[in-house]
Amino acid sequence: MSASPALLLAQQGNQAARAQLLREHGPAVWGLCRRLSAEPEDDYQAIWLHALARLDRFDPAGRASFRTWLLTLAHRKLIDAHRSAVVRGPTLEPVEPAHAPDPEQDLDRARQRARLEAAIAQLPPDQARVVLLHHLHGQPLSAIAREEEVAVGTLKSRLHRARARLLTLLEDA
Amino acid sequence: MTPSEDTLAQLSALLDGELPMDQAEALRARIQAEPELAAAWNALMDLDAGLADLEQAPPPLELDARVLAQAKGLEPKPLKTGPLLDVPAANGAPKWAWGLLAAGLLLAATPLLALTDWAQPAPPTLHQASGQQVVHGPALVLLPDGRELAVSGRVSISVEPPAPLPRVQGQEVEMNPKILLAAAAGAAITVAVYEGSATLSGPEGTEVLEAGETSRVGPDRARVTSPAQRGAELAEGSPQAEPEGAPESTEALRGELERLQLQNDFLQGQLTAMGATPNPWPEALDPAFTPEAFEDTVSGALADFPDVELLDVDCSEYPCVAIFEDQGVEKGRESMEAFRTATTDALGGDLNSSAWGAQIETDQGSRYVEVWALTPDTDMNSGNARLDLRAKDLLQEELDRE
Repeated sequence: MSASPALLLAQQGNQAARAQLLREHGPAVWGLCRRLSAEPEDDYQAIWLHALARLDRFDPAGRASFRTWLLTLAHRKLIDAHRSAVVRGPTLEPVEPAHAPDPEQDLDRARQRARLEAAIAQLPPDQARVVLLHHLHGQPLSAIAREEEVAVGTLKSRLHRARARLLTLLEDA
Repeated sequence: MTPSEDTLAQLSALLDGELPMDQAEALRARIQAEPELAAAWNALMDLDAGLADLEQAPPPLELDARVLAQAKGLEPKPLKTGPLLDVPAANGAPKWAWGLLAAGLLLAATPLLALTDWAQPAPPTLHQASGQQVVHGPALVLLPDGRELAVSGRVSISVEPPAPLPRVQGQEVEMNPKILLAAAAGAAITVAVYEGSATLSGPEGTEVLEAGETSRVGPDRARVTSPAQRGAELAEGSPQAEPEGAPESTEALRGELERLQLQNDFLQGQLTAMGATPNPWPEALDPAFTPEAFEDTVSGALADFPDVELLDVDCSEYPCVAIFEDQGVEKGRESMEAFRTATTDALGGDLNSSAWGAQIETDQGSRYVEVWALTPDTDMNSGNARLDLRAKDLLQEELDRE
């Protein structure tokens, strides 16, 4: 796996390269924090500072991509954070397309997203984590299971239950 | 109505490709026959698509700036990797060119960061993503193309993104060159100053925009700055007053039109393909593209590429589509690319190529699977869409086996 120049520069402590990493991967980390954390801004900062402080431990020539490595750190941090916090509802942000060829269609899509966000917010935290990490970020179930300290089969059951719960919630919405 | 928990668990397992083949086929047959089950399956598929489509919004204003300010105290560590020069450059990848450019610009802005005292009110650093946003200064905005915009008044920034690449199970997939071209055409960025002024800094220098002026960079990176002839209208401050109507150069418009035509061709082809019957085999088919000859050519070319394994060839309709796995993906994708070139040459050279690929991470490491077809037709915008759908389905089936 070839390393990005920004990553290598960031490993040397280059501040501009760190900014580039934040810009590229920040939305993914923020997506997890705002949906899974009681203190999303604090956790977002903590995850990034943790990652930047340990950037030298990431091997660009290794199997895992930087995104995977970062999301694993975020996952671990959010599991820890959940142990002492109550998770709040999602922060819904307005969908503001740059150009809207069909405003009604865009509005429908925004409403569907909002319903789905609201349904995810009602999932138990362990189910929400697996749904977001697996579906939104494409993390393999084996990696999620490792961080959750459960068997892959258990995690699959959790995913099935989460989907069933989401369907019920969406049907009731 | 939501089906029973057991049924949902089975459908969920089918969605993940975890059912044994016989059970999967039996369940698919039931889905065809039972409307209630079909509705549940469709709901599950919609949920899957909806989850993959969830908003990935950027973090709130100032949050990244706070992280960077705190990270300044972190000690740099020695690298595990070799020198920077050993890093293979992205092959013509403008993404990293822009990334490096952004890094350079940010480096140039380091004095600004160094002077910042986060205990005092300071201009926030904003990362502008797609969409339209009105920014009240003072603020420093990092535009998607790497330029910086220092705002001292009130500006509207509009970013029209290029067509996003479609996704297969959360993985971006590579598409044929025409679609990649459209996707890589870049975002159009328009900055309009409502009040005060704004300073744009980029590789072409610094440009100060006053109230009523607009600056637009089109998908072809052509830059147009319009004077303040619409100043009074803009100064009234309606975000909707901008950015449409800004004068465009013919060249910028032509580039935009070309991009839209490519997208239109692609979408039109997709629509046609969805309702179309299978592509018939042409009567006057080049003998090299009959199923037997195609398989022979592919098999012959494989001999020189031990890392590439042929998984399947689908010749159920024209043209044949082949599925390969690159066993040497850990070393890069050069083998697969060289193999495709060799096969193209073996089939006569000037061909239409349709290729889809996906890299997935498994417990055993990375897998790279590529599905592609080579045909003598060089103008297949609509016909190619059905081919793309077939190729994508075959790729999805292969990924579902994970």
